[in-house]
Amino acid sequence: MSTSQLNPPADDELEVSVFGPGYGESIVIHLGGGKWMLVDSCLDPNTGFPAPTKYLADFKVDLASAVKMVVATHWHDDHIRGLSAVFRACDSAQLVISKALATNEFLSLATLYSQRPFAETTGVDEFVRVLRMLGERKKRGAQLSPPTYAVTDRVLHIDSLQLASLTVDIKVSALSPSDASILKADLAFAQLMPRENLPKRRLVSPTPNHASVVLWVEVGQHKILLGADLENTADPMTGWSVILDEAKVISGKASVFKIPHHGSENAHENRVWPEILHPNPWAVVTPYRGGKKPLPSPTDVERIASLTNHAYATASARQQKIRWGERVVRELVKEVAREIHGVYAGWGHVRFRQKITDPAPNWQVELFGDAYPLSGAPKLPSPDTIPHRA
Amino acid sequence: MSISESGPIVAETAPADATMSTSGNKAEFLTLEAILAKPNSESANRTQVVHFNGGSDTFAVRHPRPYLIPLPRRLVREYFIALQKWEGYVTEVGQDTFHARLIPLLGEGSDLEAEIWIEEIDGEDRTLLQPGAIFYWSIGYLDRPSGRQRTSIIRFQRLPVWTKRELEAARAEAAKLKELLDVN
Amino acid sequence: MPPPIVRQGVNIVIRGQFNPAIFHPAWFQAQKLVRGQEAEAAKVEVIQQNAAIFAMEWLQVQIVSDRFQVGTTQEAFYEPLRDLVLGVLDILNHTPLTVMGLNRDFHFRLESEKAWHSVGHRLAPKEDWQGILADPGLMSLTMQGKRPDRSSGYVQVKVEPSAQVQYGVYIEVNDHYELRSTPETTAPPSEALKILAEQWSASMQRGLEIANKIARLGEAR
Repeated sequence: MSTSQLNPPADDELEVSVFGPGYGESIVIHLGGGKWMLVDSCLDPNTGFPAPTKYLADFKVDLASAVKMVVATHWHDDHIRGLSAVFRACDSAQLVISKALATNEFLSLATLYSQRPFAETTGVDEFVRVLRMLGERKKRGAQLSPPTYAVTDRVLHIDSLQLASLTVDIKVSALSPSDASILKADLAFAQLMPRENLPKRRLVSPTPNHASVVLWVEVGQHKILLGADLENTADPMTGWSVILDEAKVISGKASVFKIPHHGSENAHENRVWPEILHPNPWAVVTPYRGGKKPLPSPTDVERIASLTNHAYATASARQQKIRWGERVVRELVKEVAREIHGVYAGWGHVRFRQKITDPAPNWQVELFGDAYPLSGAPKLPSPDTIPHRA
Repeated sequence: MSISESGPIVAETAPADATMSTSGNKAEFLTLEAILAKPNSESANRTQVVHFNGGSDTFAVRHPRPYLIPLPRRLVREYFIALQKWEGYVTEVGQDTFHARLIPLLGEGSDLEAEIWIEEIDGEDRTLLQPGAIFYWSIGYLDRPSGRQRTSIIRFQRLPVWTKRELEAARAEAAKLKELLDVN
Repeated sequence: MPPPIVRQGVNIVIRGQFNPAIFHPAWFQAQKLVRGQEAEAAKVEVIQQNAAIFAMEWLQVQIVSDRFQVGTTQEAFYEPLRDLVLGVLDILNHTPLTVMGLNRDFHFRLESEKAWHSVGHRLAPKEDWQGILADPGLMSLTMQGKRPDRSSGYVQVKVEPSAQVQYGVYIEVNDHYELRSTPETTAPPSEALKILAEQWSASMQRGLEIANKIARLGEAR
């Protein structure tokens, strides 16, 4: 990390750090007073370690005591890689998972698929590892509670902070999944459960993601909305509609917004911006390069940039060409594949910091690695070539 | 396990060359003594039924007239050295192509996504081409006695199908996990 | 840079109680563990109560009553080989087993005769043999070490001059896993399945690293 990246926040500073290597995201929040919460996990492509714990370890934070909450907003592998290592290190943290993942259907699916030999860890592998770890802790008689299950309007964490003569309240609440979303997720998991005599394959994530956990974080006057992967749906009892119409824990407006589902059109709900966000909020999007269409698309970027002047991305969504080390590999790949591109391209960190006692939103923005501003951004750089040695 | 007919199963063909050849640096291939198979005075075609897994599965093999079988040590003649190897999984199947995520197994490099021509997939493997299917893609040189050939091989993973036992075991473990986690 | 690998292979050896009679290529095809065309084109040497020996395009199979061995010399098929064994153990899930070896073998080509001699000299210094043998040379060396992980077993390495490659060194790495808890007992296939599912990549990598290090002994110091 650069020298400035290594400056820890002051006790009276609120911080929201978002990491995204182009496939995966993770959020680290300093709630004040040396208390932290982690949301999801991804791997730092330079070191292979989970990004959130590596970041905190570089500050010499005692992970075992300072991290109060670890939240897995859902089980897809782009949000959960390295989570088991994070949870192991954050020994006293409360684990929060979606209530939609506490059903027999999902747990059966997860245990069934967690034992397959794959080159790459799957979301369910990590998830089951975390649950088994919890089980082992409980067997050892550790004084930990079982996971807290996120569902609309559930308050997940309450705390307070003493800053000089001021008492600052901290509250973290879940805005999703709704009851209807939990039911839909359960039905989707039931359909994914294989039947006898069917071939074994890798588990394919259902879309839309009904299990996703959207979080509302309040520290004093400041509110933060973390949109996870929640998409819009036609059903008003699921997606963003039900949050806007039914959620009771929302008070005030958020000045920081982690844009959901990599900025996709499917996850954009116009009403979110005027109804529960400050005008011109500080917004961050993590790109996704998996799949046919990279996200955010140029149209998505335009839309986001039109809604706020403070929009940032952790890395570029642009797909990058590959430079092959061996000629024969290059030639044969060209014959066999119509198109091929790298999934990881760059690594970025967007950091917002704000004095807790300053009531007006005035976030200081720092961009590290390949993070860049979406709003008023200079033209995107021309495609780079990344070396790819066979 | 039980075999419903007594007597040995014998090979369909006898190798033409019965000479024992010594090749150095074998990878632990066994040497067995030649076995004389007595001609079978019964019908030339024998069907042998083999039961396994406690009798729940049955498998039948039909054998032609048995031969005398000396056992030469077979020399391996083909070698494939990979320059690049990935494990992939199918994300989407189209008309002429399919999309896949590739994870490198050999060499450096990070995950890739590719759109691969379906015609590159062997006919028999095409039945396995479904979202979630795992495959291995290797690029390298195949060395044969006839010479060296640059080669791309895509092969789909083959594992036994899901069994009732596995599905029930997963449900049982899930129930234990749920109990352990005190879902409220 | 280590010397180039000219030939290599992987074989999986499991000791236990097997019935060779069932392991006909057609059985593998019926269980959908290999392609139908592969099974039909298999060259069968023997399948009887005591032994099953056959080869498919990429696969060599040798099974006797107390030993199951499959191997390939085609690097594209290392993971399919593993999958084949996973499949067999999954289907025959009551087979009592004792030990399993995940084995790699390599033929390296050294850059010169001098480099080739260097490997033998480094492993078995010739000065110690002066006065015992005239013109001594290394024919075969086997070393065994502890496992680097929590599994029971050992890692054994054999080094010989290659009989197939000029100025070549043959290196065999036997990654040996003890499946049973005591020598008198046996273990269910689940133990072997777990190792294959979880340790395969590490085992393959370990074999390659060991072989590369030994092959590099031929480099000038």
